[in-house]
Amino acid sequence: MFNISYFAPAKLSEALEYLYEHKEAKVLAGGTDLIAKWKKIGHPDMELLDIRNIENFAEISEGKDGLFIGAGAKMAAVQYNSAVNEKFPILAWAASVVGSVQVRNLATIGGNICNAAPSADTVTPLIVYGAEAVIVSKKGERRCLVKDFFTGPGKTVLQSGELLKGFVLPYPEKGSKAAFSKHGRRIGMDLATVGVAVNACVDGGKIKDVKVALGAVGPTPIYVTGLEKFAGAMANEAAAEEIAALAEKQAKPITDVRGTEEYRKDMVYENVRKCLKKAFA
Amino acid sequence: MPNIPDVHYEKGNYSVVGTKQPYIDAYDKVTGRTTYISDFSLPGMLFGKALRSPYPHARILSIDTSAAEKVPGIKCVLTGKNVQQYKWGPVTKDEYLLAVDKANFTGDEVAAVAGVDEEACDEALSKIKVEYEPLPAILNMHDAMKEGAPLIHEEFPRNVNCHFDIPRGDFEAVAKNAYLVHEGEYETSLEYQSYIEPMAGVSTWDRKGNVTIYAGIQTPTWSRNDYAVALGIPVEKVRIVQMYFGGGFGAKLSQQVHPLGALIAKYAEQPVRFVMNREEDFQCGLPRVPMYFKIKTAWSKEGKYLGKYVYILADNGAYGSYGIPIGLTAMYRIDIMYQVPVVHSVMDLVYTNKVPTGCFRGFGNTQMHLAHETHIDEVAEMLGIAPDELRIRNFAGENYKNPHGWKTNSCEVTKCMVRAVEKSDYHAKAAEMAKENETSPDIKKGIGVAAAVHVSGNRSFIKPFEGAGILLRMNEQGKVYVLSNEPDMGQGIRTVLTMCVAEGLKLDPEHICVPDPDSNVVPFGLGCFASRGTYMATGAIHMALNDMKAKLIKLAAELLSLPEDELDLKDGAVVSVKDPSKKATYAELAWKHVCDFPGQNILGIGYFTPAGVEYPDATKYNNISGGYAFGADVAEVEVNVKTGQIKVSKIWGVHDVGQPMNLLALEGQLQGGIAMGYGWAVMEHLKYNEKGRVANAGFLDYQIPTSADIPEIDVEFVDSFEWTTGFGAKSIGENSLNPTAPAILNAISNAIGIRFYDLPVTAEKVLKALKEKAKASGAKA
Repeated sequence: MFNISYFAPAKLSEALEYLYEHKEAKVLAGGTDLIAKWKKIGHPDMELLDIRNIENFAEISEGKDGLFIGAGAKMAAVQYNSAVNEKFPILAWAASVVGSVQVRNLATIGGNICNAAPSADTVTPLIVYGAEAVIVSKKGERRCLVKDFFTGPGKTVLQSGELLKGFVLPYPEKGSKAAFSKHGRRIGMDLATVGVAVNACVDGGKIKDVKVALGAVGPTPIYVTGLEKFAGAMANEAAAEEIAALAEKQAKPITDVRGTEEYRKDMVYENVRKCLKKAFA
Repeated sequence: MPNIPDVHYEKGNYSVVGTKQPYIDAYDKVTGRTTYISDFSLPGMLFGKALRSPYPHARILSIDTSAAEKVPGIKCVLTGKNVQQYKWGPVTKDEYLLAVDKANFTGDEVAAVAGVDEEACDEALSKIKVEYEPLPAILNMHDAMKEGAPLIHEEFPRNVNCHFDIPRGDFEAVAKNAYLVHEGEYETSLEYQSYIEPMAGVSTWDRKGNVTIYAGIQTPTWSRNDYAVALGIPVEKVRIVQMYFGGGFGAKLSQQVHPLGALIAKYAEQPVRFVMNREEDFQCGLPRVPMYFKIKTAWSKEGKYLGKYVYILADNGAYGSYGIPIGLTAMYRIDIMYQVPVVHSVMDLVYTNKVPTGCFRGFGNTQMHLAHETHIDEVAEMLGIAPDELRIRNFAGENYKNPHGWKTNSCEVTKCMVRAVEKSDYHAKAAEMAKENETSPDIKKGIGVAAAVHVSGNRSFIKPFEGAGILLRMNEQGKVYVLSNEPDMGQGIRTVLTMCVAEGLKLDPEHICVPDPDSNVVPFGLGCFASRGTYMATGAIHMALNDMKAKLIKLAAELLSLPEDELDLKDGAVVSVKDPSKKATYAELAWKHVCDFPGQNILGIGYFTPAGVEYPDATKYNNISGGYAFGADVAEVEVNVKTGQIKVSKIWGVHDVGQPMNLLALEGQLQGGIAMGYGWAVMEHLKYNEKGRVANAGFLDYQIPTSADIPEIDVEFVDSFEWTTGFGAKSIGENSLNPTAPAILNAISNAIGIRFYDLPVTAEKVLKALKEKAKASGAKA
């Protein structure tokens, strides 16, 4: 029947050794994407590496240089974790709108990123919080900004033998405020038609720094570029509209069964504007 | 046939009927103890699967099954070329179980296999080689009758399954002298029932060629006729056992999946389970018939409804199913709610190369309600009369006879509207919202009303028969079994019948059992459609209970040596009203009965047919229902003009269902119907791509409301009693849904001043319309 090999080590070194030996192995965390896809494509043979038993893989801990979130942390854990809620509230919010309660009790934040769907809810907050992905392999550890993690739909910078260990989120600068929006067709259980996260640091009514990330409007999540020029500008409605227009220009949505290109562009503008208004307030 | 007199039942002093009772089977369902049809197995059972056409329209040139037959575990491979096929269908006989020479929609069954498991079946299906010649396809109903359109069924020129023209008076003459004539066009979309369990059945044959189909089915006895035709066998050789199944909403009357499963089982010579997967169910189920409406109405200055002309184009998809009665229902059912002296309806039911469409909660009437209740609001605006007031001025009342010969009995539609308007504070809110909207830049609020009517049983299917029979059997322990042909598909008739017995015999529900209908056992009947179950079955059980009560009193009178008029029923016993210590329990009486009359149980026999109802004549004249049910909704919406998103904040539903039976189930049905109407209005849409395939055959992209989306719902039932049936009950099943979508659309129009004439009204559609409106007003300025 199904031809699956399954390995669930408790030690990271064993997992990395396995990945080194088995170049085609699939990494199983929550399985909510992986297993659904495997069923859809007709149950092909598969080598599975289950990372759920690896020590500390689901940990969320406050370190010196930032908050560490393990790749195996479940969406529900991210949603309810007090440090995440306190310091990175829109990440908790984004985790809370992934799928359904049942999905959030299985799905992991690492899986959400590695699956590399352009619509992944937790990606845009991670990008605007300046999170780094911690990537490990037999050869050692390297880091990569989440905004640079994606190379195409379903494609990431992860090389053969590499495993995502987690994320480090630098603590937000004083005066910074983030906002998030998931634009879908309904409230419960939906994929985003447009996802928006913004993070703005405002000092004395002036923009110090502003970051905008977009989901579901291109082959990968989009980090809006060219916002440096707003440093020093007034954090007002006009700036919000200007940035929103810039974001709309950089969005590259397609028309599909969930929405048209035109509507998605409109919603990028509207949601970025709305989020910035909140972040500037 | 016994003469049914001019009955006039009176409301009783009920202690069980009208209370709130949890479903008697709820606990077993939610704890996983109930066996649903998809989980049902027989010893030696195989699995059946179908190979489906990848083209919407294609000639089948050849089929090579040789490789498939060699797959380990495969018992048989059938095609329309190697197995004799018979055209069948519940109304129009136009569909084979396996396509013979041509596939008519993407998903049409081309071949079928039986195997030891689903994987073997899948492998075999992948090895069947079919050579197709793709043909031009019709994917839009408006193209079906055009010159040069491809022909789908040779017997139906211009792809017209049927054309009806039913004039009652001269509309043009009325229109000529009217103060206002309004014309509008409306269109509804393809909507899938989204029941929780796909279509399914398990079939097994004996050596004499009798087939038993265990099925998820709303019409177990009646569908035997259809399935016999499909299988080319006499109807007496077909037995159907209705199993627990996960909802139907109309789709699970006669279905292709049952006779096709039976055909596979016949050639496999083993039992076969045939369950559609969800993708197949989306592509090949029987979704709602999409309709286009052109409505033209004539009015006096005071808002008197003088006449109506309706043209309907209905999309039947590739095969007929119940398209004809659905189209007919759309044409004129609403005419029993408004007093309109002149009504003229015309309908074309056409074939397209899409999924066959069929019954869906509301049966065409829901589609017409969307169109008509929108139209009425437009007229109200033009006449400067409040939309509730315009309706009230024209509503039917008790004993109204309409131009089709239909007649109301109980009729509280005005009360429903008045109460819904009052509860929602409609008029004050409308004024308040209009004022608020002036200063609110992003959110515009609106409120809308709509009214609705449906039947309780539709006397349009079988000429010599309408009604229901119930057989009550008291076993030797005094337990009562209710044998009925009114199946439970989750709507709760099992609990309603239990409550009736508890009421009529003063018996604890623990001692009452309503088995699943088995056509070898239960009385003949039609089953669960046309919102008929409660009205018909409680009418029949009322009589059966009287019969059993009389027998129990007679037996007790003999046993206790007391006069019959001194005895009454209480707590599962026949008791002397003068001396309660003198009594005979049902257990005692039942045991004595089986001993005195060896083996014979005490029986209660009841039958019911609605008084004053007759099969329609050739011009579709005659009253088709004894219990017209009514209702009114008020919906409140908030439209975000920056995104087009619609939030339906609250819906009030007030209905006339006659005497409520199980109040808890009634509330649930009404809330569920409103939720479904909400989904239909703003999100549900089974879409086809340009290749003629369903583009969203799954719940990820065929969206229905989740519990997080469903608005706050407030339901109420007005005081009413339908005197033609013993317990006074009318229906709720379908009418619960009818007013919701138009009330929402009217509220949207109230909020942003834009009317939407086709479904669903998505955020994207709203934003586009708002932009166009802004552009137009900008251009004017």
